[in-house]
Amino acid sequence: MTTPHNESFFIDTSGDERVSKGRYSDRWILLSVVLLMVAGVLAVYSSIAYFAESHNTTATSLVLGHLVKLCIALAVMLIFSKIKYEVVAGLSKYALYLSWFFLAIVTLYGTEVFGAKRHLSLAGFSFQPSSLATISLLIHLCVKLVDKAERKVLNDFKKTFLPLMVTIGITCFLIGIEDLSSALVLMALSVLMMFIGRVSMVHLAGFMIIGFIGGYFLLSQTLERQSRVQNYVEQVIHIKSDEFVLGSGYQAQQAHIAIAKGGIMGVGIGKSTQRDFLPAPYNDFIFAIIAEEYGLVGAGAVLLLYLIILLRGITHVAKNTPKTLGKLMAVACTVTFVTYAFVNASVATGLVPVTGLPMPFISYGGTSMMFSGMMVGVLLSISKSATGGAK
Amino acid sequence: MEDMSKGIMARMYLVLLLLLVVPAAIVVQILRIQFMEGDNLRALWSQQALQSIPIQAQRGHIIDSEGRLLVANNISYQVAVDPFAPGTTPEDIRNVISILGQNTLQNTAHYQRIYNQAPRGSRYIVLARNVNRDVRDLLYQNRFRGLIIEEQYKRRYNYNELASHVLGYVNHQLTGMSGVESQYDRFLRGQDGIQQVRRDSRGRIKEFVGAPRKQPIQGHTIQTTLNAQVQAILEDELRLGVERARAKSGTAIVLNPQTGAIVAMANYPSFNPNAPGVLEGESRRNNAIADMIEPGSTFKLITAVAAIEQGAVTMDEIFETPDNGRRLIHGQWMRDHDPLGTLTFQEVIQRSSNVATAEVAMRLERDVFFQYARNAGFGTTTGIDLPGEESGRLRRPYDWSLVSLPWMSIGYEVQATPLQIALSYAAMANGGKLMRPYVVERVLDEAGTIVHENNPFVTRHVFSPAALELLKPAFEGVVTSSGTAQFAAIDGLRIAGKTGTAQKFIDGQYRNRYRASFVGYFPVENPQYVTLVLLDEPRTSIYGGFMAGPIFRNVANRILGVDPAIKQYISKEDEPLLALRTPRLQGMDINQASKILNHQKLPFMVKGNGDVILSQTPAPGSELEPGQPVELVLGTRENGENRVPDVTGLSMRDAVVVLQNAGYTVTRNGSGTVSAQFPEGGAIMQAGRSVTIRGRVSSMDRLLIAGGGQ
Repeated sequence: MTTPHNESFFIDTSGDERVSKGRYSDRWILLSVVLLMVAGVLAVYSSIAYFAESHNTTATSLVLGHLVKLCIALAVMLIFSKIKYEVVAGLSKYALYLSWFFLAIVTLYGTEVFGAKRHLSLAGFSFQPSSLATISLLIHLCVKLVDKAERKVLNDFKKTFLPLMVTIGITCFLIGIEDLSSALVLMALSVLMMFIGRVSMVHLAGFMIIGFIGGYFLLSQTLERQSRVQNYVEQVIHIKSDEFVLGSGYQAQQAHIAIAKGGIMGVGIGKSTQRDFLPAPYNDFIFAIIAEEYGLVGAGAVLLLYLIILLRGITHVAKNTPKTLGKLMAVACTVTFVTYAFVNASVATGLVPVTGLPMPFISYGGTSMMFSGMMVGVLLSISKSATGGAK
Repeated sequence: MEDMSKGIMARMYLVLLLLLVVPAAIVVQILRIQFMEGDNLRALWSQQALQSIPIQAQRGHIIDSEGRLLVANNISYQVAVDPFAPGTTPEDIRNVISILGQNTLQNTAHYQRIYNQAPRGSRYIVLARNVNRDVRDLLYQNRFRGLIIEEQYKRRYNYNELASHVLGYVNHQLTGMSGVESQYDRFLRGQDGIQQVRRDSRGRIKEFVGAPRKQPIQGHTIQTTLNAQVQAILEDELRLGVERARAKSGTAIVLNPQTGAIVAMANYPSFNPNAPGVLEGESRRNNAIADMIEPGSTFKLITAVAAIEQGAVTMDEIFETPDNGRRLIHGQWMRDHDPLGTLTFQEVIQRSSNVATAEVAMRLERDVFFQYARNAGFGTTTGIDLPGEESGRLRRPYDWSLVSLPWMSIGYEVQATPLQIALSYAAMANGGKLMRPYVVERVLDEAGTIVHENNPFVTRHVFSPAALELLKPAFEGVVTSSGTAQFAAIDGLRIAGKTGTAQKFIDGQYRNRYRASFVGYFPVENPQYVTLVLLDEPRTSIYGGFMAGPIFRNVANRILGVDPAIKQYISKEDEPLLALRTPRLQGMDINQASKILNHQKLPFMVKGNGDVILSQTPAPGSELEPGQPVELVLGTRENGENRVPDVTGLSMRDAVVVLQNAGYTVTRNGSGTVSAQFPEGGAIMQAGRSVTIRGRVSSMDRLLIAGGGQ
């Protein structure tokens, strides 16, 4: 890593010391984000030709659209990095309720009124309320956890675990109606946050045991579900390469072919051929396209960028920011952001069943990019309060 | 608070460690995919994404013994574009579309529509098929990377029906189905090249330009032993003869007795291999090698040779034939065509007495006679390099009845192909050698190197030269006024041969249907041509001498016209019989013309000044009296004034060269040989202006005219 060159850009725009308490945003995170965006533009441009073809437009115009969305995401990131995170925390409750409202509308009227059920069109922009719900729930959780800790009721089942689980449950239920995998990921993240926020281990363990038993019960209900689980386990253990898979394993196999084709160095920029065979190569399987065109080196570099954000977010920002709320929010933003990326990469490599989670700042698509910008913005805002290295 | 923060930090690091496992797992998984399953997965990739499409190889040509192109290919072009090839602009593609629109039957809008209707992102858009060479050349003037022009071939038989039974035909996949096309298919076929293309999940071709490519290997050229002129003559005369006799069909063979090379082989009715499906299979059969017939009197050659060699008869032995011309042999009547009275053995041959021939034959042992027939090639295939040959049928003596030997001696109870009969006479002509016949001289590759060659091959010595010397006068006597084949005679040319008139054996009995044949060779001094003519069910007369003889004579007569080497064998006083024709000289340079005239030993007179021949008398192609000079009127090309050369009869390509050398531009119409031109040859026209030439695929007629002129 060289010295981040966009430092000056950031100083110019965030020079106001009253807002940022005279500290800079974390350079490593910022640089990683910009590099991810660059990688994203290249990968989207390579992989979107087929989509463009079927939508009567050109790859170039779609990539221009992608660039516009990147600029918006950057702007959002910038704005949130300038807002004190306490303000964001204070608004999170209302944002959560608003997202519930949107989710309800989408669920009830989604198809009829708004086209795609996961999307909501507002003033020409479409966005997924589930993204808003995810980020506001997690930040709201942080606020609640700090609140419970201050009132020393963290281990109280009725006062802490139950109300938190109700809030989480409502949110995940509303999301899960249309998008089960996002709901499950959010549920996992919420439990993780509760764990970090020191909610009673007994309660969490109990919840997880009940969850596992319930999950096992649901899966064992029908043979079809059982066989799906078996198939999945089989696919992860044995990579199917002796013949074509045409059913549920088609996407995973095509992604494997892309990765095998890429080898260590990749086939070269713009030379992907698997983009013609993979569904949504610009979104769900963009990591496979990166692995094909830039090889293990390129894929590893992308993972490294997310790792930098993860490590910086936890070992620097969360560790060095003085307030508990800041710590929790830094962890929430970092872990959420990175989890999305890791889940996406796991899907592309066949470790996790297909979920449809985007790869932040790389996948084509507007809403997720905006909320990624929001999360990183909040993280950057917290990073300004981190007492660089000194404890 | 401090305590709480510590708790949070500890849990945070625990979560961090958990999360770090994920990217590690991903990298391990990538390595697993790439190294453990990589080869298999990459193989799957090539299976789904790569496809090879063949590039058609050009099928080899077939030429005659003098190099005339008998079978070639029509080349047309398929024009496609790859709009995404590097350096290809929309301007380039518009240009291609407008060239196609202006030079083909379809307009620009048509091609624009094809282009617009192509699936988006397609990298192989076929705009036009069957585009001719001129359009291709135009397109090539503005070549760009995304222009894909592929050759397509169609078999072209230059002379339509000519030698169709020997050459054969091809099916729609250009695989030889009969004749040389089938027998030599592996030489003609060549090797298709391979173009690798990539396809996407919907099967569309995505990449074409610059993809790996293996060039096709063109098929070899086959040089046949056929002489197209002789073949044309034979077919022409056979057709006329069949029509004259109102026969069902006819077969004729001309072969070289010294080598066994087939010079011409014809069946009528024949078929046009350019459209082989039009006639039913029967007329596609090469009867010359696939018909098994009872030869009749032509088979008496075997009897005569056997009897002479065995000392069973002498040439001047006297035979008394019955007054009514028939004799009862073991309870069956044998008849002569007419009562012939008292004959020497020579006359027995000359006048074709069945009764006397049978009498001679019965002096021979059955096994001896069988051995002679067997040696002469009857009952076994000749080994000619054509598919579908029959062996005929020669029964062994233990199968014979009492009448088998006498009847066999006059050509019944034995079945032979016309080619076998012709070959036995070839053996007589060449001093007793049974040759293995062949129709292909050699196979040449693109560079002209010989890949395969057929050399004359003596199957065995079958007749003794001494016996043949004794018999020759008898067989020469056949072709005289005292023989059965006086209509086959040509004054001044020594011909030996034999007629045959055989009753057809249909459904178990002999009927009043006949085959009339004549087989002979000439010149007797140095035999160069064996010619067999056979008519099936002639109706105006049944006799070989009457029906097949004249065909033989006409063929032989016209062969003399095309083979000057035979002329020396013509007795001097008979020379005027050979028609001399004026060559075409108009428009030629005087030096060139005089060379041609001197070569043909024609006297000529020159009028006027200049170096170009403006006109000639008599007109080209007309007959000349012996010693009659050709009058040439000369002119000049001055003051930019120019005379248009006469290019009719030249190939289109040669014509263009000649006209361009003369300073004209050329407008081409059609292909093949030039059948008409405007302005006509000899007309005065300024250089630089355009001469229109119209081509036509050369016909058999043209070959005949060219042949008759020498």
